[in-house]
Order: sequence, then C-alpha cells, then structure tokens
Amino acid sequence: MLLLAFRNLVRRPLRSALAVSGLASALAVFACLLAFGHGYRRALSAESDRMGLQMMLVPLGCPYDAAARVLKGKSLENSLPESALEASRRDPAVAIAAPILMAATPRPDQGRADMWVGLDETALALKPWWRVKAGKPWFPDDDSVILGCDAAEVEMRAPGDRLHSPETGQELRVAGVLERSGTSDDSLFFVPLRTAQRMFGQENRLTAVAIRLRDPALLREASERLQGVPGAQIVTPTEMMGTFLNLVGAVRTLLFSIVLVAMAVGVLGVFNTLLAAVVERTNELSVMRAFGASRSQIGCLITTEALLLTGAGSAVGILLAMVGGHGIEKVVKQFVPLAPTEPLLTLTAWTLAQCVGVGALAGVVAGLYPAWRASRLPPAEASKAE
Amino acid sequence: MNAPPNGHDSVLTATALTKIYRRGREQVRALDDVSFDVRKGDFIAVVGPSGAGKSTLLNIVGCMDAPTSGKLRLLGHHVENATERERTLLRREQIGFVFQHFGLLPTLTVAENVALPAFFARRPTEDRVKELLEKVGLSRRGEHRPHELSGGEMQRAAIARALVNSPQLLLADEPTGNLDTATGGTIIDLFRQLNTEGLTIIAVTHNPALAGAARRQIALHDGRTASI
Amino acid sequence: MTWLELSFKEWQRRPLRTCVATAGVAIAVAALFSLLAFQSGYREGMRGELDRLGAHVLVVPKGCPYDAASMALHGASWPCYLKQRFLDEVRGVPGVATAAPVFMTALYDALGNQTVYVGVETNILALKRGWRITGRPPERDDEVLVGSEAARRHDWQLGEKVPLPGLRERSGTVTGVLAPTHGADDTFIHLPLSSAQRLFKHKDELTHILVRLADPDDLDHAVALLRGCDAGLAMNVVPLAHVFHTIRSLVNSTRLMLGCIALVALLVAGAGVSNTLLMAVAERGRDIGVLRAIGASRGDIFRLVWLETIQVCLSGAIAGVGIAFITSRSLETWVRSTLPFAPTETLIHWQWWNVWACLICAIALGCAAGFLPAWRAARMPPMVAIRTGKALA
Repeated sequence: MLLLAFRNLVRRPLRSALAVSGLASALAVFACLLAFGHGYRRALSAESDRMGLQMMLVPLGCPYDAAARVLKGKSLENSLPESALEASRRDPAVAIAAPILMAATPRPDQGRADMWVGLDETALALKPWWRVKAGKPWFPDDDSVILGCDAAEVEMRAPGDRLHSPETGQELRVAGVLERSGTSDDSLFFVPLRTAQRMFGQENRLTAVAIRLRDPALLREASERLQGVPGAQIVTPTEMMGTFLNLVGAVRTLLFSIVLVAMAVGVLGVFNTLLAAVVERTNELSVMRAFGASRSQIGCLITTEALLLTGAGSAVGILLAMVGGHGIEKVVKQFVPLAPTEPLLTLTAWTLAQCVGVGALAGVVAGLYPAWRASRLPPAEASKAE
Repeated sequence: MNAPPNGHDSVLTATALTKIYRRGREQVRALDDVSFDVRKGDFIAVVGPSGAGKSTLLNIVGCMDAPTSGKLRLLGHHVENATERERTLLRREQIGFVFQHFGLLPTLTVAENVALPAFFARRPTEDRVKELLEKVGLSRRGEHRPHELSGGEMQRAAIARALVNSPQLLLADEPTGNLDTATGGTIIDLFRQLNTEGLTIIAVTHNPALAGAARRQIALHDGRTASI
Repeated sequence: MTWLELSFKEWQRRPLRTCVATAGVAIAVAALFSLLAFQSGYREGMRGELDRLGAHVLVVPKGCPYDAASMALHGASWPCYLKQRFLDEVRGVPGVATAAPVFMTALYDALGNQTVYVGVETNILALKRGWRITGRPPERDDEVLVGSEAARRHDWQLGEKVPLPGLRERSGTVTGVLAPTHGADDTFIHLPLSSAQRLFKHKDELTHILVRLADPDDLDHAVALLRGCDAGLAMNVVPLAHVFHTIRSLVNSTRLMLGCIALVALLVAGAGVSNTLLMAVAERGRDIGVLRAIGASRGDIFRLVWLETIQVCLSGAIAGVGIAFITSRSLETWVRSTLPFAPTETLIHWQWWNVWACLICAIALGCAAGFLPAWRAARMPPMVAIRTGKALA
C-alpha cells in the first residue's frame, strides 16, 4: 500500500513538490518557534536556578528597561549607592550580599557589545561553577581581568596576555580563563569591583546586589525590610524571569497563531492536490474496486498518500528549520532582551515529535474528504469520455 | 468519382508526407510517403482501419503538427517549415475544425463558443455569430450552455464555430462518431450543403454514410495511401 | 466578451478546487491585513492613551512591578503605597507644572467585574484636558464623579444618590458625569482624595502621582531631578515616554516577525494556487488543444491562464479583507488578552492604503504563481485536440 501511494505521488512530481513545499515552509517556521521557545525558557530557568540567590537589590526605575539599556551598552539611568550594600549586609536574614557593577562597551563594527562585570570575593559564593580553565582563580591585583571561555576565544587571549579596553583606556592583564559553565558568564569580562567602578566612572555606585538569605522562608520579611533601603528596590529573579517570559510568551502566542494560519493554507494545498488526483484517477480506482478492493482500502490508499505528502512536508520543514535556524536566531537575538548566550534553537526529540505529529494531523485532515470521495467510487465505471 | 467540381485552384498539395514517432526504442511510421492533391470545392473522406494514420494526417494537414519529411502546400503557403506564428494564423483564418467530441467549452454559452475564433482574431463577433447560428438552425439556442444541448445540436454549434472566420477549408475528425444514425444524417446533410456553397471539406470518418456522401475517398492503410 | 470574462468563466469548471485555492489566499490575506491594521492601531492607541492620561511622568511606589504604568492607565488594585508627604517634594522639583496625587483601588464583585475607585484632588483637571463634565467635580466627602460607562452600567443619573458598588452601606451623590473619553476613565468612579483615603483606610497614602511637566522636551532632566530629591530614594519615577518607547520597539520587532510569517503564509497560498492551476491546465489539455486548433495563439493561451490565476488571487484577497473585517472584533479581544499593555481603544485601524496594499500583493502573487501554469498551457501542442490513434504515444 505504501509503495503504491508513493508511486502515485511521484507520478506528478511538480504537483507533489508544490504541495509539499507549501506545507514544509509553514512547518519549518512552526519548528523554529517551538525550538526557540523551549530553548529560551530552559536557558532562562537554568540561569536563574544556578544563581542560588533569592533576590536582588536593584536601582529604582524599571528593571526591564535597565536591563535592556545595559545590554545595548547605554549607561544606566540610575545606580545603587554603596550604602545599599551595607544595609543589606547588616540585615539579619541575609547570608551573602554580593555587589555587582555591570557595564557594556558596544562594538558596533563587530555587531556585539562587550559586557564587563565588576565583582568582589563574595560573588564567588554565589557562583559555584566558577572554575578556572587556565590561570589564576581570582584577581591577583587590581588590573586583572578574568575572561569567560567564549570571551577569551573571541578576544584570542590566554592567561598572561594584555587586554586593552579602548573605550575606557584601561590596560589589563588576563589573569585567568573560566571553564564553560553554560550560562551567560561564558561571554563576560570579569574585573575587580573597584576597577570596574573606576573604568566606567561609577565610583561608589553599584548596578545590583545579589542576596542569598540564610533561610529561603524568610523571603517576605527580608523583602519588606530591604524595600525600605533608600534608592533601591527588591526584585526576585523569578519575578524578573516571569516578566520576560510573559512578554516573550505573548509574542510567541501571536507568532504561533500566524504560523497556524500558514499551516492551514498548506493543508488546503494538500487537500486540493489530493482531490485532483482522485478525480484524475477515477478510472484507475474504479478498476481497482472491480478487482476486489474494498471501499475502506481505497480510502486508506488516499489517506496514505495524504500522510506521505505531509510526512515529506514535515521532513523538509524540519530540515529547513535546522538549516535556516541559525540565521533566524541571530536576528531574533537582537530583538529579544536578555537573550541567553546559549544557542536558543534546540531541536529536541520532543520538538521533532511535535512537528511530525502536527504534520500527521494535517495529513489526516487534508485527506479526509478526498479519501471519502475516492471510497465512494463505484467499481469500474465505464470509461466514458469526460 | 474524381472530377473536381468548380474552380481549378489547388487548396492543398501533399507531397511524400512522412511522419515518424518514437515510442521507446521503436520507430513508428504513422505516415509513409503520402501524396495527394485537394482542389477548391472538394469533399474528401479519409477512410481506413484504426491506427492507419488518419488522425496523424489530419493533424498535419491542419497545421497542428509538422511532418518528419515531405512537403505540404496549403493555400499557397509552404507549411512544413512554417513558424508557429504562421501556423496559428492559418488555423485561425483559413481552416475550420470540427471534432468528434464537439470540443465546446462547457462554461461558455453556445454563442460565446461560436464567437471564439473571431474573438482570437480580434474581430467583432456579434453579427457573424448570429448569422451562423441561423445557418445551422440554432438561433434560439444561443444563450444556452452546451450541456443543455443534444449531441446533434452541439456538433452543429461546433460547425458554426468552425465557420466564423470564413475559412477556405473545413477539417472534420469523425464528426458523426458520437452521434446516432439519424442525427449523424443531419450533420452529413449540413456538410453537403456547405460543400455545395463552395467550402472544401476533408473529413476523417468510419461512417459509411459520410464516406458515401463525399465526392472522393482517400484510403489509408498502415500509413500509406491505398487508392486516390 | 472580453479576456477577463473568458478567463473568469473558466474558473467555474471545478468550483470546489478553485474555492479551496481562493480560500487559501483569503486566509493568508486576512492575516496580513489584520496585521497591518493592527500595528497602526496599536501605535495610535498608545499615543491616545498617553495623551488622555495627561501626565509625562508617573511616580509610583517602589518595588511595584513593571506594569505599574499599565495599572495606572487601566485601573487596578495596588500592592503598595506612597507617602503623601512625597507629594510636596515632587511639587518642589523645578520643571514640574502639576503634580496630581491619586489613590486608586479596584474592587471585584462575585462575578469578577471590576469597579475602580479613584481618589483625586481638583488639580487633576489641569491634567485631564480632554474631560468634559456634565455637572461639577466632587468637592464634599460623599460626592462622586462617574465616567460615562460606569454611569451607563449602573444606570445612574446626575444628582442621584447611589449605593457605591463593592462598599457596604456606603452611598454617594453623583455630582458629575464625564462625557465619553474613549478611555479607561469612562469606567472609573472619581471621588475626593481624602474621602478615598478614609474609605479604604489608607490615610496619608497615595498609589501614584501624575506629573505634568512645564516643558515635555526636558523630560530627562526633570526625571533626574525627581530621582535626585530626598523622596526620590523611596519612589519609582517612570518616564512614560520611555516606557512606551520600550514597548513600541518590542511591538515593532514582534510585528516584523509576524509580518515575515504572514508573508510565508501568503507564499504558501501562492504555491497552492499555482498547483491548482497546474492541475486545471493538465485536465483541460484537450480544451486547450481545441482553442489552439481554432486559432488561439500561444500568447492567447498564456494570457488566459495567467489572467485566471490573477483573478483567483484577487478574489481571494477581497474575500480575505472581508474576513478580516468581520473577525476584527473578536481578533481584537483575543489580542488584548494576550498582549500586556494593550490600549483600550480599538486596536485595529481601517485605512484604505492597507486594502490597496493587500490587493496589490495579491495581484503580484497571482502574476508570479500563474507564470508556470500559463507557460505550461501555452506549450501544449494543439494535436491533443484530435484523438490520436492507439498506436501513437
């Protein structure tokens, strides 16, 4: 049966190709969307999980806006005073309060922005994956920089090399290169906190304070207390991730709906192709019935052809998604804020299964009416002219 | 009978027409060295068993296909090497076609169907169509669709269509093939009438009545002419 | 008979197939059209909301999430509060023309319907330039100013003493009714600030402050000053223009992606049309042969099939615009539930240029899609018209 269906389709290669390509394009976009969403959510939750902190003290203003500005290399509208750090360290519920200064130097000609992060030793406690691949595990002096593994590759530096930051005029020596952690740390440039403050003209200012509590159950009271710190507000990572995911989720819903439209159109194309094939092959099919094929067998044949068409569509679509995915990813990263550096387009088995499943469903739906029409043909209708 | 009726002009001269088709690895000689002459006012029936090459001959004479070798002079034109443009022009202005299956477009009315050749010639159609519908006796069926007509009426409409651009030659492929004897008879009468009015007709047919109505017969057998 | 008529009639040969192909185009065009209409609607809607709010800067309590602005615009219950004394500091910042304090609460009834109470001082009128009040704004404690929608919903008349929804055994006198503003204000119940603070038991507290600047172009400077004042360390200063800018760019990039996918849908529809016409041409081989036999040239046949394709696409486009028109209401409701920050005005804006754009797209698609079938048709040899003998291939 399968072979027969296949041969029937191959008889009219152009037609089948058109129908397949239509569905394939729609499915390709579908696959991309699925993969992207999955990858993004995973990457974000990986980042927030690993951080091991329960909340962050951030400057006033919109955290979302601030994050977007930092990513684009623009200076922040406001920053935290160091007094906020002291206030949080004094709080009884706080186990670790790690200060961070983040800044970006845009490199428009290379299409990226270098992210610089100023830390002190307290940050190490919050970054258990901080393992140095080569060189020293911490800054030996103020003019050192530790590079994430991807950053080191891009800059082509090894421990002991000099690193010059033209935008800030700072000369640094590479003290170490980190092992791959799978987080956004891989592309960051880490310097001592004081150095960062000096480089970017933010003496005594911070971007954020990452806080780990002695007991996560103390979250609410600690939040209320720390909320009172002047010039700062409390944000929990789940909140922030939640906001981003919300926005991204909304976008995804819209995108999915349009993809559904595209797929519906593809299904219509398959439908038409099959219907025409059935009409064209009236004689053939009637002869088959005369030779003893039952109605359901004829119906099955047509349905098999439908499934083959959509199966081919799924396969081509997935291929397209894999090939074109990287290009799309680059474009998307520019738009989506806080895009983690991991590849977002992960075609997992689940994604593939979903695509194939959707394709199969499309095939069944598209083939329904043509199969029914075919099965109702009486045996060997005399071959009259049209 | 061989006497040409009126006029001495040759409408068509075929010289050693040969048509070879390739079928897989075989070569099929559909026409083999066929020569004949048709004068103005002739009424010729092409007869012969199936597969003898009658349709091939009609295709070539009708400028729808080119011969593999041989010469064909049609109304002063050398057709064997004609361009597509020239052939189209001949088919439009000088030749009329009637088919076994009538060949009317099902979505157009009878009048619109009849008007088609004039439409393609970018000529006004109304008067001529009316005239011809009257001539074939379909003046009251102009606005009907083909599926509302009987077989005989459809063929008459097809004949009207063939005559719209006042061609010099009418080619017919089994015109009575899909009609019963009685209706076929009316079509044969119509052909006779048109021929009397001066139209040259070549008809491929299995119908002995039509073959008998013609003035001359060309018999084809395995691509060759048997008698002229 | 004209060329258009001739090609149009050929359509009717296989109505189901042609309809399906047309439907494909219609759906794709409907999506594209809705998209185009939506984006301009959204932008206009946002701008309208900003204007209607009347403020350039929003001062909200600390720690409130990103959608503080959305809450201020659409009405909600606030999780945290500002101290009223911040108001004086805000007023003292140079560049501030008006600082209108607001205390807002939303109450929900058993069915989940929302009633929003907004406590304001009379200086709110300096911000709400678009307000037209029948009657007068509330001055005494038990007086209220209701929006037109609220008045309609509860069937309240001017001067009536009405029970306040959600508040047990409280009533107020309707001293004023707002003329429709086409915004969220129409659903609010405004009362004097002190009255609201007392009713909801938050004395000396505010939910937000609406700030109108003397010079809107000086936004950044004024915002810096606001943040720099003493109270600035305890409140969030949200420059609305920036916020809307961020949202706008997000919407823009979304729109870009959506547009690309809609184009993919359109291309898929085009492939479907091409396929349908190819099949039709194959089926009509004999008729095309007949046409050629009776004098149609290759160009004539090409033109016929090409026109047919364009007609299919064009009718699909017209149907698509129609579908978009009919479904626009429900589409809007759905979009509003999905997107954060949707303005309350109609999102989907009707502009003729949208319609033309879609129609032209469809014609272009038809031209491209029709090429292959038309070319195939034109190349059909006329011999197909005459039944060939069995021995011939």
